[in-house]
Amino acid sequence: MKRNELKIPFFLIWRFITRSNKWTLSLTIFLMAIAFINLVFITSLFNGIVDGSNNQIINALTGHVIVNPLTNQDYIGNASNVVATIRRTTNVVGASAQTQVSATLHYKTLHLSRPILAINPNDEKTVSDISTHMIEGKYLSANDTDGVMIGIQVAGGPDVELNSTSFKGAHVGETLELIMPTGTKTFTIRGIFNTKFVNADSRIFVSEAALKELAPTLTDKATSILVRINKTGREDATIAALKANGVQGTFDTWHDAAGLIKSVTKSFLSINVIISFVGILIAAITIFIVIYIDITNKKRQIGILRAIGIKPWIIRMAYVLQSAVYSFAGVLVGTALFFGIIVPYFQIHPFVLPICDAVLVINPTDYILRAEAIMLVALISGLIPAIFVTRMKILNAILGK
Amino acid sequence: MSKTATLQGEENMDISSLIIAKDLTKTYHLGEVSVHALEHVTIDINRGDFVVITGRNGAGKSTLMHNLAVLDRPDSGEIIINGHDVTKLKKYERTELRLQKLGYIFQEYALIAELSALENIMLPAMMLGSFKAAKEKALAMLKQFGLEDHATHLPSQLSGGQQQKIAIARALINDPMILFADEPTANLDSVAAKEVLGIFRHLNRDAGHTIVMVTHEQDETIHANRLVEMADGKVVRDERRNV
Repeated sequence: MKRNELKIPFFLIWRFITRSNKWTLSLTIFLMAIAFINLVFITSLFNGIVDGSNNQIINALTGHVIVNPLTNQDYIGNASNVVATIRRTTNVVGASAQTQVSATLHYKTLHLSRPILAINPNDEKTVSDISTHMIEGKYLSANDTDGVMIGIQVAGGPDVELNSTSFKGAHVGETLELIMPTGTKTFTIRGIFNTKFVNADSRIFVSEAALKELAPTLTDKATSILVRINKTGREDATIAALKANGVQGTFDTWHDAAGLIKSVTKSFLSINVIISFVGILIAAITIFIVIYIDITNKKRQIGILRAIGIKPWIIRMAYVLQSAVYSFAGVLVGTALFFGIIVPYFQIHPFVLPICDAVLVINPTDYILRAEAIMLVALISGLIPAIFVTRMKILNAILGK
Repeated sequence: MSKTATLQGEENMDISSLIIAKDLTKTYHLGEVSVHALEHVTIDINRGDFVVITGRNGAGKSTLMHNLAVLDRPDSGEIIINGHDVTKLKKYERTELRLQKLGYIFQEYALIAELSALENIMLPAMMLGSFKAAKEKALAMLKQFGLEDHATHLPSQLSGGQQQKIAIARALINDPMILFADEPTANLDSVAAKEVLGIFRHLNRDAGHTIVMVTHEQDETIHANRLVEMADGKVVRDERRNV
């Protein structure tokens, strides 16, 4: 291979691309872009659903780490001191003790048997984002002893998923009766929240102060303490640090507590793998057809190049380079369309699911992998017909046989 | 050392016959029908000859030329160019031979549509030398053919005659031993055809190029010193004449 020969494929391909029919060129690049977007879109949607679900679990339900009572105990005693210890632990940015009690609620003629969560509303704000999802009324205050805060799935309403097992349209300012073995009390609905996560929105909160009045024996006792840390992924290290700081109890991560959602997200990840594989296959076939037709249409040109003494490897390299340019341009255009139009559109109009509002989330590894897949497929798609045509009889190639 | 290199080295040998084709046969199989395009054809072409191969359609004239020009292989027989049997050359050696020693002019110009006139001419020269040298050589050829103002024109922006001149310049750029032309005037009007034939005559008489041209126009044979007529895959007439 001589140095001057190496320049020829680049010379040829630059001319072929810059002087070919602009519409055909644009269409080819557009098809590549669509194939790429198809691959990236599906995986980002599934990533979005999984990420959205995980974030909902962390932000609206469990925090990152849940400290439960020791296996032989019902409560974490001296909860306020334990919370203080937890807050001093590495990585921890918030902690909130929750005391769950069973109760029956009467609202107008309706009765619901639901667990009630007693919280310190200020502490709860440090682990959950419920306070930012109030759709009616206001968030609980710490000294509110006769106020209750309910999720949309408890309040109910015509468009609510679990309306049949709710108060079917309760509103702020209305009262409900809370019956516990230790006593009965009338509460006023202070606020209704909607996190768009059915599990989180099915909960009822009262303040610690209210529980103290209803069940004084439960004062400073928690059924769980939710812990928020500075970065997802540091849960195990944080649990180790909590243990080292003397926090006693059993520990779960948000992932352990995800339950049914965990199975759903696992299924989504499996579906993602299958659909991505099918997507790559479809992209491969589409790109192969586009490039195959393009090169087959240039059979005569390839025949002429061979007739005048251009070596077959130069011709093959030129067409492989052409495919590389097509696919690279396709990935660039696809990236521009994806991040410039599609992602912003779904930020504004997310997919509404019972778990979360899913937006598109692409991680760099997925993106690079799919860009590489498109380019690899394009190179192979360019090489195969180029080998085929350069092995044909010159006269057959020129005569288009 | 490759056979191509040997061919180059032996260029100065005193071999009067530049091409010797012995007992060539070529059969095309079209379904169940076999067409004998060449039947035991033997022909020799001397250095400096202007050979015109004529005959009716299907006589085998193009097949003969394609085989002589190393664009196709005969089923049997030998083609000796400059003392070497080219039918035994490997694929890459045949490519090198076409690039360095043979020039080919097609009936339909066969220019690369995306390359300018200058680029079409310089392409074969780029295989053998620098880009700059190829460009200079191609510009000189454009000037020689009076097309220097059309250097940047694409083939679609040139007339048939101009395109064929570009094709001739491309065939000549590596200074081939033999120039093959397959009905080079078939798609040209009479004025352009006359001009192209004039170029061939000049290349043969004044520049000493060996030319093998296929045509079925009788009036195009007048410049040739050798007339080969074919019918049914056989040479039926082979005469030398003074022009």
